[in-house]
Amino acid sequence: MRTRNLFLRWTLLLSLLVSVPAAGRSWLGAFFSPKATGISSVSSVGTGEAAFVQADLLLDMNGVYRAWNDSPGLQLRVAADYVIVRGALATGTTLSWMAGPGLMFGYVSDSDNVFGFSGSVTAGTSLMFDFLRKVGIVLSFSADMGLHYSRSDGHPIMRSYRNGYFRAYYPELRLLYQF
Amino acid sequence: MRRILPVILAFLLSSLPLAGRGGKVFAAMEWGAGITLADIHLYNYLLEGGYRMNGSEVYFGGKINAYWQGSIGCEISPTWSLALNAGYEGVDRQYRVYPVTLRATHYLQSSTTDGWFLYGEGGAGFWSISDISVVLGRLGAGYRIALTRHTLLDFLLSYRLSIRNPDLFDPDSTRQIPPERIALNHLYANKLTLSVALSFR
Repeated sequence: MRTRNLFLRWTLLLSLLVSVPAAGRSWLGAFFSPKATGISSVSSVGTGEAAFVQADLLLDMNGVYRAWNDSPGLQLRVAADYVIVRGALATGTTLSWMAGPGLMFGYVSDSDNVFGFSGSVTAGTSLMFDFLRKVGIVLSFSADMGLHYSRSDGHPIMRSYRNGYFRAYYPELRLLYQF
Repeated sequence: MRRILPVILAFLLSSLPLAGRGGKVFAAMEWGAGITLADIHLYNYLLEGGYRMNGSEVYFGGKINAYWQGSIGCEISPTWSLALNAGYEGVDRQYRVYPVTLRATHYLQSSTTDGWFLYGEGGAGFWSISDISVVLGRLGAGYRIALTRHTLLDFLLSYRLSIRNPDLFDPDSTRQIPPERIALNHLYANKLTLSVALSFR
């Protein structure tokens, strides 16, 4: 319980740090995926909105939807997304294809269903629909490469975080409102 | 299954000529989560010793289940639409089915603008093609935001009823009670569900 409280304090601090440098437009909304669900924020940075910063606070749903796991884990994800191609659709919607690196910290269960701390480097690609109605939809895929630390009978176990790349093909959807 | 499938087919076939007369076809995906308000179990069955169990029980509980579904539908008038939904849904703890339902939606203004709508649906949940395991119903209301003329975002709040026959066990031998000893065994699960939908037309 003490470790969870400590973890919550750190995630709050990190999410504050992330929201400070954002200067342009920013969106807040919900994150939906078979792998996790939670709240998400996207902020534009740079001139001409050449890049975005995504910050997500998520419940890791590994095994929860299929009921072989009772409790969700917790993740904080921060990623940069650089615009590769941008175009306007006939309906006034702006479409941007983006890709970029990021970081993930979390207390999550791995594919063997054992909970532990994880720190990973992430890579992702996103498709952002920026509607005229102040609503944005981001469809994305991401993979995490990192380590997973758990304890078993008092012994520490450090392994690669396999769920990070096993679940890379799970789609992610963000529904965002621009403030 | 045999009783419900012709009904669904008849509805779908009746909407086809409407689609040709200006009704527009749409596809949608919807997902959400619900919380159980109350489970009501009505039962009447014989134990192995010949003792009859007869009664009803109500369980209150905060079980949370999620669902996902895709749907194909047709706008049969500016304010009404019919859709066939199929997906994957948690009905109870450790109990998941593939629901197939038919939904009727009434838009208070129009199906292509911002506004409120009411909807109702009915159908069945399947374990496999031949094995119907749950009867499903839903009544709800929602708010539609037209992102563009072709992309619509819905927020939905609904009441979900599912009726099924849970397995019954003899308390002494812990063996399952065979169907010929069961006169009545219905579990009515009442749920409140919040969901989001994106539809494309």
